[in-house]
Amino acid sequence: MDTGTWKKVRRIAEAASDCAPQRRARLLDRACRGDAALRRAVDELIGREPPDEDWLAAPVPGAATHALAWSGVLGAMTRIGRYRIDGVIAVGGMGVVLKATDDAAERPLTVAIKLLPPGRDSRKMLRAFRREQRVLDQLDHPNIGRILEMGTCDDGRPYFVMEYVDGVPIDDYVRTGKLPMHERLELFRAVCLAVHFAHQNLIVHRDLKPGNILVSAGGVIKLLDFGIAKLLTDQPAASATETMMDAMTPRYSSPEQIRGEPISTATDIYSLGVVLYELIAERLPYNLRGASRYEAERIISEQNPMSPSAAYRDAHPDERLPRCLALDRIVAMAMHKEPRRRYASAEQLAEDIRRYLDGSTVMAYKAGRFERALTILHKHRIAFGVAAASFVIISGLAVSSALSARSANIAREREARARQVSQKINGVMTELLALAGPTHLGATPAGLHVLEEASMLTARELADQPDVAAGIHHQIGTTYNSLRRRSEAIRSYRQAIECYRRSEPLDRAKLAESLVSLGAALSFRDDEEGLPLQREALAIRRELYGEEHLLVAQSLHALAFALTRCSRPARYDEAEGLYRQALAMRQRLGAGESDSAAENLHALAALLRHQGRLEASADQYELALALSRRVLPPLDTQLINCIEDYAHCLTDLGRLDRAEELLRESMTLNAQAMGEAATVVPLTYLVDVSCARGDRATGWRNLHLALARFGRTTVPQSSGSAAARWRALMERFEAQPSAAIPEAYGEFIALAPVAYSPSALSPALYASLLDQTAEMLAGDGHAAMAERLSREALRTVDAHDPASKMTRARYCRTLADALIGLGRTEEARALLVDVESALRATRGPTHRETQAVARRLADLSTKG
Amino acid sequence: MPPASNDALMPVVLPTETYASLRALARRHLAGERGNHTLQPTALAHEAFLRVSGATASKPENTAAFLIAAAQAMRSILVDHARRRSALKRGGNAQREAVEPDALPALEANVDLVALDEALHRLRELDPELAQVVELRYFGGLSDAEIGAALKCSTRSIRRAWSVARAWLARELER
Repeated sequence: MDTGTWKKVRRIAEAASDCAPQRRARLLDRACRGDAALRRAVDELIGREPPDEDWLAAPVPGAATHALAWSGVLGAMTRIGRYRIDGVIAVGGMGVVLKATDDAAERPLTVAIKLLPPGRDSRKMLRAFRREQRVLDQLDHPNIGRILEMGTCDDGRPYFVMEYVDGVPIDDYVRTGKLPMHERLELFRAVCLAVHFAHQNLIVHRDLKPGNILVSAGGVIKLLDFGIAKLLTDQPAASATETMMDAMTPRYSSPEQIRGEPISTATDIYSLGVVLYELIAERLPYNLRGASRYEAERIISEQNPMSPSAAYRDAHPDERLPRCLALDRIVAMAMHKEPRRRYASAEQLAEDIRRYLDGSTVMAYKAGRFERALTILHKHRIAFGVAAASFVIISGLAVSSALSARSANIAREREARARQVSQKINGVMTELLALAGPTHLGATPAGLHVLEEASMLTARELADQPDVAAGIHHQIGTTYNSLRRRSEAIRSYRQAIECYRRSEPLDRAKLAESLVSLGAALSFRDDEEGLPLQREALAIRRELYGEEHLLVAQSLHALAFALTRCSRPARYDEAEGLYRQALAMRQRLGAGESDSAAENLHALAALLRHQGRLEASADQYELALALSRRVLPPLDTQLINCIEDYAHCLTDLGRLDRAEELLRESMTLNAQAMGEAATVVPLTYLVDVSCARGDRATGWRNLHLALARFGRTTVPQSSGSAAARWRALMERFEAQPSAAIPEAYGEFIALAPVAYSPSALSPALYASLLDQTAEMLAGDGHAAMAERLSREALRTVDAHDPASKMTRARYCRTLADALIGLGRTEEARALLVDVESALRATRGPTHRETQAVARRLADLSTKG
Repeated sequence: MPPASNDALMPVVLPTETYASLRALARRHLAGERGNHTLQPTALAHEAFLRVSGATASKPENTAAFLIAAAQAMRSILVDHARRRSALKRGGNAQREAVEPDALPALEANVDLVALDEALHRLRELDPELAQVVELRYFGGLSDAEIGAALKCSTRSIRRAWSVARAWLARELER
């Protein structure tokens, strides 16, 4: 019987059980409404002679004797696998933890066995565990309890065998030992560093709480259960009454976790924050006693707890906690509702604790500056997504530009009008926010629609106030730009410029700003028009501010970029000169330690790399990275980009260990900033590193991991059969660590456009994965499949980003390799000749991509 | 029926000695109450557990989680015990170390526990809520009101669920 039918049957049978026998028949007739099959099923169940009144009525006779408390598990089970059970360590919602001995080991080894309740698909879980095991094996850290193996009991219950740890939960340890604050914080630092170690191995704990953080009598920390929570959450329980979230305590759950949103390392940071709160205050931040799941969700997502130092004062009225504000800030930052606003890593949290203990200024203070802005956004309930955030700015902008009008009367009139417009914009946005849900609105179709709407509204409603409209168009353009929607950004900037030019009086400073932005967006597309725009902007700024000014430096920087992209061919020497000039000016003006200076260094390093001057480039990257770390927020995209580009450069230089180290860091940061999906890019870079080492097996494994993560994170939870096949395919990629599986890639490109919703998928990422796979396949001699994937990559890039010349060139190189592998040398040659002449015209002969293609052509000639 | 809240039971670390004294305590308790059919095994276990673990009181949600876990354990003990006994009766294989720490008395169940257990597994597939009610009632010895409190729903709906579950099991075991 299917669940739906059974539910009906049960409902009717329940109703019948309550009603008097003489009325039963009528009730059944009414309830079944002539559905004969349903009626038969109900009769089958309750129509017969009811079981004896006593049957099963009293609890199992003698059960009480057997209760003997928890001898239970002991009495019933004396062994699990090769382990002899010695006793019960703990009983929790997720089953029991037993103490056991491995007799088979050379020396009898005491272990802890976590025995889960039945009802899960243990075979599936076992498979997942085997996949994870390699990663878990890397978790060799003195403060992390090891998971030794996983197995299933005779009755199918899964169990984990873990290192046995003789210790007490950290909260009990500090409370009973009455530990002074600095010792508590030192202990906590050790916890953070162990968590950080796991994060670097890409393992998120997901269930950090004092019960999983034990302290031995010698004061040594051990973290338990790493890797287990993931296995449990990934394997849905057999029944709704036993989902993982129910089993996990909400007291240490982050807002995103309790809402069932994606988990990242930031989730663990939050739980660490709660543990820290508890260690300071000796109580929990929220009182969730008796709260339902829903209430708990609301409290955790919306309320702010009492500061831990205040809670501490409550408990110890005559003691003073030194620098309690700093400590409060640290806890607040770790427990931030918004994952991206938390510490970027557990290590940073540990670092900040150290600063507190040393008496130096904690980082959380610096972060506090963002706080105010964030509170405002929270109040408007639109703290999500770039697009949404920019609306607050837009609305404010409309009003403030109106206010700047000269005559008071006109100002009042315009202000009223501007308010009206901003209200309308806000109205549109709020409505769509409700539709889109509180996820990264900017990137969703609804988010883009909001921007589109706002753009139209501005053009229509503010036609008579070009100066106000210009500001809003510019802001919308910036939002599009940050979403990498270049065409829309370009359109909005053009509108802004057009409006500024119509304004009376002309605001040249603002005009220059829009010119710079438009010029940069056009440069990204290699559009020749970018160059004159930057020249015009530079001229305006020099006139307004003189030779020596930060905005002039910005324009020099922008012009340099335009010279590398918009000039035919690119003028790298001139650009390099301008980059250096801009950097020197920034330093002279006291902005040497700024994000723009960091970007400046990064741009210079990139230019050198493209020119094949790798050593010089690496030096600049080193400087750029050091500066970025000093001045940028920990999860800034610019910082992450810098790390990845530097790693690329180091790969080319053959400094592979350092490159890998950086890429692993970037994976951690990406996961933290944007979730697992964002780790796909650094993973594909790691493929290059492995191949440069000659370790193609690891290359394949990383590539498959990248494919699987990409597939998991881009596909919506649709129930279609394509989506199901897609998911199965991803599992296959994940499970097949080291060998090429040609037919699977064919399935990949066949399913991708069906299984994913096009807006959720990043075409650029999709294409680059295809290209990477094709390159690996061509290298392993699977030329036919390589050609297919390569063509699909080219098709995708042509459809979505036709201006991306470099990308095209790279993909064409891969395609040429495939063609050569297939013996179609002439075709390959023709392709490469085309690409080379295009590159020569745009990027010039010295660009490394041009040279790479030329080299390939030369190889072909010598072979041919 | 809302999902049972299993989350709240704080893992309590019990050293082996404590564990032994827990059993001793349970035995003493039982000595005076043998044959009393109203004795509730899980409640007893819980009380004992609290006393030995040093906790003075337990939050209601902790109690619920404990009772659910205890009933589950109880079922596994009893069924296993029954299975072992029947194996012994069949002269069966004593390979499995038949350690019975406290010389368990024979079960006087009027029900074939092994068959019931199998039927419960099937019921769980069909309707996990009903299976849980049976587990709590029959193996955990809880009253309808207590089950209702543990599963956060009314006594009446537990009574109704119980009657359907019983009908289903009766039919299943007849086959």
